Amino acid sequence: MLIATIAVIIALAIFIIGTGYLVALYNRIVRRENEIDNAYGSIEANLKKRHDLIPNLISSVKQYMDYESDTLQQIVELRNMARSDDLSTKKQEEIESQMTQALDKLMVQVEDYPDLKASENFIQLQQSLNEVEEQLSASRRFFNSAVKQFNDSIETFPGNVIAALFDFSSREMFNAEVHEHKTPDVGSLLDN
Amino acid sequence: MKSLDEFKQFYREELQENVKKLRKDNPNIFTRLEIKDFLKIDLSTLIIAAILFMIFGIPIVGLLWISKGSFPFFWTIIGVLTSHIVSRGILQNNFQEKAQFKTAFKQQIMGSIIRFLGNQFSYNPTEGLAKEKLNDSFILPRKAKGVKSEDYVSGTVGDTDISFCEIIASASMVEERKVYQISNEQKGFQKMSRSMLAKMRHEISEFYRGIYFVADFHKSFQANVLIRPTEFTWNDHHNEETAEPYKVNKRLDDSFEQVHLEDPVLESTYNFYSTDQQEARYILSTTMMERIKQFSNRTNKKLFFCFKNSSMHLTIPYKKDLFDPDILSESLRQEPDLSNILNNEEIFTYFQDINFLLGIVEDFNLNTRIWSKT
Repeated sequence: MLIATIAVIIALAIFIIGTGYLVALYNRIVRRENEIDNAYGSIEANLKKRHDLIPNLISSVKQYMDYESDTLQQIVELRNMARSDDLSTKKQEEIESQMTQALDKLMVQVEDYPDLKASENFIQLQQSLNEVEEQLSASRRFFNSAVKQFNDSIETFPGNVIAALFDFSSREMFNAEVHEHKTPDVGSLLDN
Repeated sequence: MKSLDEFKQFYREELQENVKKLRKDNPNIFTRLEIKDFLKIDLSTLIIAAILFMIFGIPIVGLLWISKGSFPFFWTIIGVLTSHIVSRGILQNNFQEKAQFKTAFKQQIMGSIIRFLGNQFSYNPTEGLAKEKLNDSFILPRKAKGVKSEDYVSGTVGDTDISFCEIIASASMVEERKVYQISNEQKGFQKMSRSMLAKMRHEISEFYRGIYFVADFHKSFQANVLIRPTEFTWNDHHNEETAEPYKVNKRLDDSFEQVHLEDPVLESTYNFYSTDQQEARYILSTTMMERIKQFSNRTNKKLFFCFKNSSMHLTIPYKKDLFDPDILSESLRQEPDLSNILNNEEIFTYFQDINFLLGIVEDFNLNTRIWSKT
C-alpha cells in the first residue's frame, strides 16, 4: 500500500513537473513568435518612414538633376508599387531592395552636382535617409535574429513536439542585406 | 592629432626645461627614504624604552617616580616620545613633499602635454566624474561602494565632444568578502594568517582602476545598450597570480534584455544587453561591431561599453596611473630605478597614453556625421 502511494506521488510529481515544463516551453515559443511580429512591425514602420521621405527628396533634387530623370522616375515608380496593399512579402522585399539600389545610385549621381550637395535642405534629407536606411537595416537584423531563435526552438527537441501539436512552422529570414551608409568615396569612383 | 615626432620637438623646445626645473626644485623626492626606514626609527625608540623600563624598575615604581617628578624615568619617556614624534614628523613631511611634487607635476608637465595636444582641451587634476554618474552608467563590473575619480580632461576632437578621467572603484565589505570567498576557495587562503587575510582584503577592496571615457555618439538614440566582457579578472591590476576570472555581475533591471549579435567571435568575448533590440542593432552596426573587435584586440584589455543618452561610455582598465609621476608609487613599493625617473622616454609615454585616448574618436569613426542627430 505504501509503495503504491509513493509510486502515485512520484507519478503525479513527474506529471506536474512535465506539464509545467511543456507549458513554459509553449509560452517561450509563443513569445519568440511575437518577437518576430514585433520585429516585422518595426521594419514596416521604417519602410513607411523611407516612403515618406522620397517625395521631399525628389522635389529637392529634380531642380538640379535634369539629366538623371530616369533614376528619379524609377524611385517614384518603386515607391508607388511598394505602397500597394496587395503585395506578397517576397515581392515587397524585392521592390524595397531595388529601391535601396536606386537610392544608392542617386546618391552617387549627386556627387556631380556641387550646388545640390551644398544645399541645406538636401543635406538634411540625406541625413534623414541615411538614418532611416540604418534603422531599416537594424530592424531587419533584429527580425532575422528573432526568426533564428524561433526556428531553433521549434526544430529542436522537445520544441518540435510542441510545434507539431500546436501547428507552429518555420519562418523565413530576410535576405542578408547589410546596408550601411558611409561617406561617399569619390576618389575610388574616379579610379574605376 | 599630434604625432610623437611633433611632441619630441615640443619636448626639446619647451617641456624639457620644465622637467629639469621640477626635478631641481624637488631634490628630496628622489631620495631613497621609505616607510620602512621610519618604522625602523620607531621600533628602535620602542626598544630603548623597553630596555630603560627594565633597568629602572617595575611600572608601579616607575609611576611613583613620575608622580614625584623623579629623574631619569620620566625624562626617558619624554625622550622616547620626542624621538617618535620627530620621526613621524619627518615621515609626514616626506609625504607632503611627495604630494606637492605630484601636484606640481600634474599642473606643469601633464597640463603642458594636454595644452600641446590642442587648445580646445582642458585639464583639471582634482576634478572627476560623480560617483552616481559612474554607477548609473552600468559600466563598472559591479556596484562600487566608493569611486574616486580625478584627472578630468575634456575637449573636442573634430566634431566630437569627449571627456575622460581616471577612476578607482572599491567594493563594499560584504561584496568584498563574497568575491574573496569565491575567488580564493581553491587556493586555500582561508588557512592563511589573519594579517595576510587583512592584506588580501585591503588589496581586493580596490576592484577597478582605469580610464573612464565619454564621447558624443554620432547617432541619436533612446535606448541603453551595455557591453560587458563575458569574464573579467577583478583584481588583475594587483597580482596576476591570485587573480581569478569571475562572471560579471549583471546588476541590471528587467528592462534590459540580452542581445545576440551575428558575430560569433564578439559574442564569445562580450555580453550585449539593451533596453531595445532594434536600437541596439542601430547602434551596433556591423561596422561598429568590427571596430569594437579591432579596438579590443589592439588594447588587449577587457573593456566595458555603455551607450546612453546618445553618448558612448567606455572604461579601459589600467594597472598604472596615467597622470601620476612614477616616483610616488614605485618608491613606496619597491626599489626605484632612480636613474630612470622622469627621463625622456617616460615623458613620451605620458603623451602616447593621452594621444591614444584621443584617438578613440577615430577608432570608432565618431566624427562621421551623416545621420540626422538632434
